[in-house]
Amino acid sequence: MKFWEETKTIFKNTGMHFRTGVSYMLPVILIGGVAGSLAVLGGTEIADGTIWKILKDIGEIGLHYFVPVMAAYTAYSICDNPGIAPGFIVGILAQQIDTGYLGALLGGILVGYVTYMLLKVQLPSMLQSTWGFMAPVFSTILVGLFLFYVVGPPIAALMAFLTDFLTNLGEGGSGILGAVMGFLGGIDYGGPFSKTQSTFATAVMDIDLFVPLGICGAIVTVPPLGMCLATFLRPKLYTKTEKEYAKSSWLYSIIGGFTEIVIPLAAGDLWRVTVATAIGSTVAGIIAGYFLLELSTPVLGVAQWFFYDKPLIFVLSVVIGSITVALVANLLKSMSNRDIAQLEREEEEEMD
Amino acid sequence: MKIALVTACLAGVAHSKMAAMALKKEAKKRGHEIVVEEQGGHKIPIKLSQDQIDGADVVIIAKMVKIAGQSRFEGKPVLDVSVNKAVRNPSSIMDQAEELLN
Repeated sequence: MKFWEETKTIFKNTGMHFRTGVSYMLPVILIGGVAGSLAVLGGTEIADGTIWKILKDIGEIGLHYFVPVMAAYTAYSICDNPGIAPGFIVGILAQQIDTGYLGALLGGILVGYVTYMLLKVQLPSMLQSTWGFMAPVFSTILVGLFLFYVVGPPIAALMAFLTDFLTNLGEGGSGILGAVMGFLGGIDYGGPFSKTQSTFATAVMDIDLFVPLGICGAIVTVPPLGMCLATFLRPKLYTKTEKEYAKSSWLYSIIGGFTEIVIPLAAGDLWRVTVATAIGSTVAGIIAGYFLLELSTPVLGVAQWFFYDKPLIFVLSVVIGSITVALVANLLKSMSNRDIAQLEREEEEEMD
Repeated sequence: MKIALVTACLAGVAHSKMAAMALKKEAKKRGHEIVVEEQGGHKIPIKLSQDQIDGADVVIIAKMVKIAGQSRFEGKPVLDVSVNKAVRNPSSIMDQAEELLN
């Protein structure tokens, strides 16, 4: 059965389709976030016709329409170009019936799948080329109706519940949220778990929540900065290559600001480093969450500094988180019998 | 052997680059020729030329998102792997690529 095989392949790769959607969505949020933040310079009461008003409008467009863009490119990931238009329309519909991000995600996957399957239908050659234009029309209507009548209402109720719940978390609740996000962000260095928490953080901007993004921004540089610090504190526990890497990468982690920089420092001793970064990143997340740190624009590194509502809390969480990583990593490493001299010999052999 | 490599990640800033570096290093170590195209959200990729694709014995695709222009590699032996695996374990991927040819 080819039909079932293809269905299985498509849904087995749901994660990849979703990530493709996110990868096209990020620039939209970024444009919206930066333009919106610039508009703040114009003061609280912005008059029509001023440049600040235009910046504000651009910002709002970006922060509103990232949802359909994500749906469109999730569908594109499944069935190439014919998926884009249905994805856009289904994504906008999902927003209009208050199902937000979740509805758009589901709609994007479904409409991509249905379009793909409809396009596989074999017709007499005279009709086939027309079918190429008509299949996306049918898939959009089909999935649109399904979304509106069947899955829309429960998802809208769920979204309303989530919005209410997340908005009223308070300090303790946000601290717990920070702990969970910090843990996820600290265990796989930009892999699926980290991406889950960062995607969640950007997704809830749709319901005007900015604390999760604040947490996400605070934890992202903790693993690389912490491990660089660890290398400086107890150089004896690290190989020559690791030390050189730390020297060249600490500044880069501050400026560029992404977790992946830590990988070369983790790869040689994955378990111990992962435990250390998970703990440190959790600590940073708790601090950022508890003090309700808000970040309004999803940018990385130095650029973030301009968009935090409480820069001091940001610095505090990064510093304390990094110190925790360094101390835990060095403690664990000093208890291990990692033979640095042996590892350095192997490194030299690899160079040749 | 000649390898054409395409890497793609979420934002095009970290994983695609690291996977390309890891596999380039591994290929060089084993004496293979390699040409690379990095894809990802925020940049215009330098595309592999048709000659480079035609000349390659094997195509490696290391991705976490859909790559642009998959159809260019139709009819070639293609090895499809995750970009994370390429970063962490380039040598096993190179083993797989070599097996694919034999």
